[in-house]
Amino acid sequence: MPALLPSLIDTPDVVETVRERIVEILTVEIAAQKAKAIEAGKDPRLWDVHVFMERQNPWELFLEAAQTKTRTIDYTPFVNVSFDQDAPEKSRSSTLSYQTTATFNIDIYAAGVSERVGNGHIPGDEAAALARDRAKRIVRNILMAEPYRTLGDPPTQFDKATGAPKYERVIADRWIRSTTALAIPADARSLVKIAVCRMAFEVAFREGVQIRPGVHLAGLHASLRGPSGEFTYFQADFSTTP
Amino acid sequence: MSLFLEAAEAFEEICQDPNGFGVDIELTSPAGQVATVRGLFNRVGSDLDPETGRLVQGQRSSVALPLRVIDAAGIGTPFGEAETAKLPWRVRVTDVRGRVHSYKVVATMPDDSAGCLVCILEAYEV
Repeated sequence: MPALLPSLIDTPDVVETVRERIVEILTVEIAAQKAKAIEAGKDPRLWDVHVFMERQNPWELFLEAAQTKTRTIDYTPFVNVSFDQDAPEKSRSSTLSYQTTATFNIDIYAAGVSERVGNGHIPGDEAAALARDRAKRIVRNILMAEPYRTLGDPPTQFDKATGAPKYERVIADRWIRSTTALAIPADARSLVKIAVCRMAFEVAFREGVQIRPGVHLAGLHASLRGPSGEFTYFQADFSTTP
Repeated sequence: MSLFLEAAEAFEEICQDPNGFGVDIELTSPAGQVATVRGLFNRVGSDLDPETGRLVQGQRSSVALPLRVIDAAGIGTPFGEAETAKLPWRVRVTDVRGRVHSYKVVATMPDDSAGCLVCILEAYEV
């Protein structure tokens, strides 16, 4: 049996591009937020979030000489963007492409260390939860911002001369299906407390498939009539400009 | 002498032995009273499972102290202070590498039979 696919499969799937787009958007916007914080005279560290993709070993926490505030690690919260699942919709798909909704897990990690404040203290678990929520707020506001409704995918563009599409938008929409705080086991007893939440981020897009070379049609006429031809159920012309 | 009393004394001897595993542990009460007690110090690495499918490498630390020695110091018995308006019980200890660590007591597990108090520790910045 001969191979039927006409070309080398050397371009990433849309789902891969979407994942990278999420990381890119977060990275760029977080850097911009830090710059805005500096302009506003605020501590930019409160807007800092490290962004990773598909990391299996995200963090190692330990503390050296806490009383001197000499830390050997960076406690900046971070997010890890990873692919979770892809659910094509058969009813909305065709031979040439399929509509699908992919879920990406955006896991947000933050750490907290107990600290003396006056004659009281901030517990590490509370500090970690507050840092996590701050990072979550930043991530949510960026990804759900209006300019990123299609994650920066521009609208479909047509050639003015021929009317043929020059670019077809593939990303339709995005939304947060859920955000869940994940529980740290009570017996963890860690020196440094961590707080984690998972944002299930869904993106609807069109995924293409490999096709064989086709033939451009000048037009297509279709009609459906009754048995004796006296009744027309529908009639339509589909014109294309070759 | 009861076996429990013997156990308590044996634990105190283990902590006091200068050639043993005991170390000086500085206890500070919420009121600021300070006492140095010989006890056992433990600090090891441990994995945390935040249920994301990815483990975070952390550390856990604890001290074990003779309850009768703490009583004799007269600064009270350490416990995990949840109230944020108050200072917690604090612990300072030097590890075998010579590094001084500051902790707060986040939870305790007293064994009144064997006269031992285990304090679960958390990193603390002063």
